Amino acid sequence: MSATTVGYDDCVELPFGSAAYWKAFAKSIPVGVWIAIVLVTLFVIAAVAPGVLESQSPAAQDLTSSLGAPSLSHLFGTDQLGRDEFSRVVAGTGQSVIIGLVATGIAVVAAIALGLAAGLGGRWADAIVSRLLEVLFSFPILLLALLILTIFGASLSTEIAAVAIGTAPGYARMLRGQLVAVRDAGYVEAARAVGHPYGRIVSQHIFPNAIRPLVSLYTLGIGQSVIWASGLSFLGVGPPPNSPDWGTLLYAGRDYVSAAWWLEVAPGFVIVVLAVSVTVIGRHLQDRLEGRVRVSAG
Amino acid sequence: MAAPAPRRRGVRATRWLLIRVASGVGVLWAAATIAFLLQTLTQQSRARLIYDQRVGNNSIPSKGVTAAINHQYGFDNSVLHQYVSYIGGLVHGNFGVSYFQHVSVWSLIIQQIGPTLILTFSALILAWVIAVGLTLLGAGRHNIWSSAIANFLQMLSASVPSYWVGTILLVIFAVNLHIFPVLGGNPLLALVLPMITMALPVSGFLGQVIQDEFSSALEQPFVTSSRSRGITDFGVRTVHVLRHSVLPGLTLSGWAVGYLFSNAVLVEQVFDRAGIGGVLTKAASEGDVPLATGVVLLSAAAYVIANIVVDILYVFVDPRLRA
Repeated sequence: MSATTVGYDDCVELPFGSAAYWKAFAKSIPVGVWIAIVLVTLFVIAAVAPGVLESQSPAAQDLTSSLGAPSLSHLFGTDQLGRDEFSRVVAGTGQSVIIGLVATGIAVVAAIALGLAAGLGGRWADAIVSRLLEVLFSFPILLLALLILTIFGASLSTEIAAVAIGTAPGYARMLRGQLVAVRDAGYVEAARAVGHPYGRIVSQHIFPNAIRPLVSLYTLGIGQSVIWASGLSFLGVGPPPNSPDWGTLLYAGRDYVSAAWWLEVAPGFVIVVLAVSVTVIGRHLQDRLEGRVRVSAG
Repeated sequence: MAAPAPRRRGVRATRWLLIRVASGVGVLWAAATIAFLLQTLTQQSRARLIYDQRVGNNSIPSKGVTAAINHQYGFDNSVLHQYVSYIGGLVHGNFGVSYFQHVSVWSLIIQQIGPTLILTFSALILAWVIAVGLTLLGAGRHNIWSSAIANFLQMLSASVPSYWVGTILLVIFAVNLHIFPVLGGNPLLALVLPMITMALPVSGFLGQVIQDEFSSALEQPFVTSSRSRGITDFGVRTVHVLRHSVLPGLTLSGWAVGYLFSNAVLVEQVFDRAGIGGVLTKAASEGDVPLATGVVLLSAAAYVIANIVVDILYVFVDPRLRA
């Protein structure tokens, strides 16, 4: 073994929960991920206690300073009624984040059901689910979501369902691939050879290993759901116009792109910051779960 | 094993193509079935919806009026009867009649699909140009700039909404710098910003797969042997390595057609362009089910056709598949 590389054996496993463990754990997280964690924490605060971040009431009008450009007193400028855009964006965080969390949750649960049926349900179930996924893939995500909104009418719950249905096939296909790979892996074959019952092999070996990537998938998916949902609202076919979320701010800002670009750019900027943050955290989780990041002394 | 005779090979290729087209038709049939089933979920309220639009208020229609509307649109037939006539109509290019504009869905879409197709395919071509350009410049070399641009594009494709990129380009280059028209103007000039908006995220996806394949192809023995025969670095990259690395990019392009259609709807609204985006958005806000279904089914057809074309191109690029 060369002196410059640190091999597997050189790493000292630290006892879980000890102070040294947490110190090493914090050190194993890159700076970029720390920044993302701080930003996500800010989003959580904005969602749970918007009053802490709002510089003034999001409903307070001041017609003397309508359509004001961003300044120190109004970070994101003011809208046509002189309301502080920053406070309105903060006030919209809760509902926007909930749309992302719920839509991704529904999509992932549907994907687990479809993926399990395809990956473990035998040849016929696999053929049927795989064909169904192929058909669903032929519908562009946003167009399928718009069709669902057309049929069931625009509302917050339809928007969430539309985003979930649009994104679920992608997750299902990923999960199916994962289940098939795990099902055919050496350790599953070994467990079978030793004579473990099939049910126990599924619950103890296949399921935990196939489900693990879903943690990072869910995190990555939140950003996508927020982006697609805000796109639907941007088109004016999502929740009603008085609904407090980023998408409706975007829709309202469309009339003022020439006169007050910040009304369109600011809510979009916040969506981008959220999406980038969860993407960075999701990728890091992926690295961790696949064993590319280790907590060790040294 | 001896190579098959040329005639046999031709027969086999034709059969492969027929099977591929048949499976595409199967996908579209299933897609139409799903769309039909979704429509029947609103069975009860459809007559009411049409009535409300006709009289322009929310009065309750009499039984006779409801029955007349149900009869006119065939809602009083059995679901199976409706299904058979719906699929039969689709086969003959009949997508039904718009609830609100009272003309055939097909004619409404045909009027508007041209600009969307132009936007989509010009964006796909531009995305390829960017992705291949960056790959030829950057992959396998330690070029900080091209890899920084590639990383930036990948981030853009994963976490930046297209309507936002479009708005920013519009504000900078049209509203403030007056380089491009805000509304209307020269159609070619008006295409530039929306095309760039749509191409950037796709070039991120494409660039990633092409570069990965490019870097691993650079390690292959055939590269060393080409170099030893005295071919220039540029020659090796463009003639030999690039051919390998475009294959995953081709596969992704089939998928990208669906992604581009989704973004076209948004980008058309940002730049106030004609196209199916406006048709679909209007249909969605009015509840015009036949019109929305028609747009979605036609885009599914475009996706299926694009993927068949990709499979054919694949065989052209990769001679190993021709045997």
